[in-house]
Order: sequence, then structure tokens, then C-alpha cells
Amino acid sequence: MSVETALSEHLRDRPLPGEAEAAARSWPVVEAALAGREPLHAPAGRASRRPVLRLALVAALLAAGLAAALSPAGAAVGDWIGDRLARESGSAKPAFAGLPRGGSVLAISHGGAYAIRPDGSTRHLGAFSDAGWSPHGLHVVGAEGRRLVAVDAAAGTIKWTLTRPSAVSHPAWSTELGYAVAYVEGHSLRLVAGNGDPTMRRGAAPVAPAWRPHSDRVLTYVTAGGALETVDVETGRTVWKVPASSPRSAVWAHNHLVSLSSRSITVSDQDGHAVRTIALPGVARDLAVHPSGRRAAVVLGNRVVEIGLRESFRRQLFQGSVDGIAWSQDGHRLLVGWRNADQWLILGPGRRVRALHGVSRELGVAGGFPRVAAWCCAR
Amino acid sequence: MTGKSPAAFVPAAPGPGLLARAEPVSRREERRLVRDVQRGSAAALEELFRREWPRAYRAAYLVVHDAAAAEDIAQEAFLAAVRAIDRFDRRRPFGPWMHRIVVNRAIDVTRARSLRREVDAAAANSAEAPPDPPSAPLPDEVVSALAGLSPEHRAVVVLRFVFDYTPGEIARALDMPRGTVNSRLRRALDRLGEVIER
Repeated sequence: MSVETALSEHLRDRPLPGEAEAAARSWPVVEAALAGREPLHAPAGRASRRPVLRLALVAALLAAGLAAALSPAGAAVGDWIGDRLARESGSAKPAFAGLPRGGSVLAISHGGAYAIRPDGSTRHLGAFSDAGWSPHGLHVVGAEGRRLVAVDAAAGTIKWTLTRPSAVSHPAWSTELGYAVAYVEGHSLRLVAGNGDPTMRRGAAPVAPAWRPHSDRVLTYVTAGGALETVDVETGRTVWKVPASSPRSAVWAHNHLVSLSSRSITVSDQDGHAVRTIALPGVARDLAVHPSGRRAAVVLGNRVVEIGLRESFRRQLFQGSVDGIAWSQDGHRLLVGWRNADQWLILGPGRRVRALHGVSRELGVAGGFPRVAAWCCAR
Repeated sequence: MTGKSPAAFVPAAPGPGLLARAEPVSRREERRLVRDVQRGSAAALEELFRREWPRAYRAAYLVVHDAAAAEDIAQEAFLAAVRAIDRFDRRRPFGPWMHRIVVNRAIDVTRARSLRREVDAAAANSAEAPPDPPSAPLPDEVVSALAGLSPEHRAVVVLRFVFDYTPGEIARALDMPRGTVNSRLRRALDRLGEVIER
């Protein structure tokens, strides 16, 4: 056997790692891409009737227009035809109309923050670099340079603003009645509440503070030294403080705190005791805790991996240039921002994937890709 | 492929792998599948995916030597194909069109990774955390020897010995002179032949 033949057989026949699993993950994404495109030709099967119907409508309208052109009312009918055709040709549903019912998505791009409703309508809320929902999704609080701004999400009107001497970031609305907003200014943890705008702690890391569920009073933040401290904002006292591995994200889910470090997830009880530490097979970039609190989606490099927080399991959900993840309120779907494809993917039960195409275009190209920041009220 | 791609530019039959393998698709059957995909048929796309995925993944893997990156590349190639399917000329074979996307993308990814490693090495002291470990390499001397070649050499080897393309076809696919293809094949064969004949 020649070297060429041996090499050929070797390279063709050698089993490769991960081939079948990769195919299983990729097929739904490719299928969704086909479903989202607009074919130039008549689609096969049942759907093929649509263009025929459209052509028939155009023919009927043109015929009506020609007939009307012979009458004194011809100009008016011509306008009507023009309107009708324009509406027909521009009637493609907006990308965001593919969002399931049940909540609005908060997205952040270079152009600022947007509230996106399931009917596909979008509302620009401000030139925010960070933003978060109020407890019931009625308002959004955003950070814009030195300004903190609260906006009515439906109307887009500003409810209040607060200007600080330094840049503000990571605003987090309290989770019960929404009486307070915690945020980071420089290296300080601060609070906007009915009793003023006090500094809660000096020496805070640039990480969003996490309010206890259904609480306007207790929140956890990451200290500048990389520890976790829980504070009673009414009394100012420390509830507990524990060392940690410089978490880049911390989220309360039911009675447990889930904190994400670059290489691990730690689940702590309400007293700050670590009940579980999960090593991660890669560098973590983002975390979305499932509403049940039993599992979480984590962005590891360019993969989205689902990880059990109570039981040990791990499975890859998606691979690509991910920019933002969020669970739906009912926990049935995970929304994934897929930057390179300019799509949002909705990963549903049974490996179903729905793609929302051209999401940058939908918001205006100047804004760039809209990162998925939060899906309203999913916690 | 370029417009000059000859009809003989047909990929070889796929070898056995983890997926169920399909028989090489006839040109007429392939044209039918592409036409149906252009009309929006998911079933036709699934058939094309089933037939082409193993080869796309294999080509990407043998150039980048990383399962995660190979998955990315093969998936992106299929997405690019879906996006461009309406403009695809059905008189031309689909497989080579796909292979060209895969192999060129795999070369780009490997080059970018090499560059990033150089930058990372320069900034090692300030690195916050080590990068993702590469996926487990195949315990195979030939594949390891292939990994020792440059990505451009690997791409030439893959197109020649996995897909059976002629040097002229490879030159067109990679947009390089035929003489360069021949010299790269010669050098690669020298290196890999030593391992095979051991």
C-alpha cells in the first residue's frame, strides 16, 4: 500500500471526538436558520400557496387599478393600490415578533438600552451601558455616565434621575416593592431610597448587587477584595461576610446565593455558608440562574452549558459567539444572543430552537448587536 | 468554488464515523436537494446536512485539531450555505462549495489562534485566568504529525487525501498557485510518510 493510500484511509476512517454530539447540537440551529429566511422561490408543500395568493392579489389589484384608471375616481383607487401593495410588501413580521408571550426583554447595545415586547415592538429607553428591570417590569433603571435614570418601560418617559460626581454602574432594583435601587459608583456601593442616597459601603467591586428575593432590605455585593458581603440596608449592619474567589456575578435564587467566579460556581445558603462548589471546565463569562434555582446556564468561552446547582449534571446547550443569556419567567426557554449570526436564539424544551434573525438591523445598524440583558421578571 | 470548477471536482465517498454514513449523493439527487432547500424544504436540508456534516466536521477538525472549534466552523459553514442558498448555482456541486468554506475558515481560525497565543504569551503575567484547555487530542501519531504542519499544509492534505481533490482543484479552492500546492503536498507527505512507514 502506498503512503498516499495509507494516509487517505487513515484520515478518512479515523473516528473523531464529538462528531455526533456536535451534529446533534448544530442541526437545530441550521434548521432554524432555514426557517427564518425568506425563500426567493415558492416553498415546497403547503407553504407554496402563499406567493401564489400574493401574486393573485397583485393581479387583482392591478386589474382593479386599470379599470379604475378609466373612471374619474381612478387616481384615488391608484393611491389605494399603492398603499395596499406597500403594506403587502412590507408586511414581514419584525424579528422580535418571534418572542414568546410572557414578558419583555431588556437588551443593551452601543445605542443604549431597549425594552422589547413579545409583539415585536421596541422602545429605546436611553443611552444606558447597564440597566435592570423593576420588580414587576414596569420600569427600568439605567446607568448613563454619571447619571442614574429610571424610565417607564412602556411609555419611555423618565421618572427620575440622579447625577453623581463619578460614573455609576450596575444598578439593581430591589425585589419586593421596588423601594430602593442599589448601584456602584466608583468603588462604592450606594443606594437610592426614600430616605436619600446613602453610601452603603466603600470598597465595592464592579459587580451588580443582588437583592434577596422579595426584599427591599437585604442585599449582597462583592467587595473590592473579592469577598461576598450581605448588608441590611435599613440598619447598615453586615448580615454576613465570607471570603470568595472574586465573583463576577452573584444572584439570589430562592434561599440560595449563586455566585460565579472565573472557574467555579458556588452555591451558598442564606447565612453565607457554601453548600456546593462546582468547578467549571472553562472560563465563565455569564450566568443565568433558572427560575427554579435548581440549575443555571453558564457561558463558558463560546459555549452555553447548563449546570445542575443541586444535582451534578452538565450538558452543552449551544456553541457560538454568545452575548447575553436570560431565562423566560416560566423557565421553559433560554434566550441566547448570538452575535456573529446577528440572531437571538430561543432554546426550548426538547432541543427546539427558534431563531430571531437580523436583530441588529431591527434596532438600527448604528446600535450594533443587542446583548440580551434580562427577560422581564424571570427570577 | 470558482466558476471554472470542473465537474470532476467531486468529493470522495465519506469514510465510516460516529454518524450513520450516507452513500455519495448523485449529482442529480444533489441538485434536487439544493432546489428543494431553495424552496424552503427542511427535509431536504436535513438530508444535505446528514450527508455533508461528517465531512465538514472532519475537514475542520483535521485543520484546527480542536473539537469545539471544528463544531463552530462546520456549523458556521452550514449557516453560510443556508444564507446563500438562493444564489447557489445548482449546476455546480454543493459539496466542494461547502468544503471550500470550511477549509478556508479553519485556516483563518488556526491563524487567529496562533496569533492570540503569541499575544497571550506576551501578556502572561497579567492574565486573569488560563484559557480553555484544548479538547483531548486523538491518540494517533499520524494525526499528531499532521498537527505539526502549518494550517495551510493541513488544509492541502485534507483536500487531497480526505476529499480526493486534484492539485489543480485545491489550488482553485485555496486561491493559491498550483506549484505551491504541489510543494506543500510533497513536504506534507515527507513528514507524514515517515510516521506511516514506522
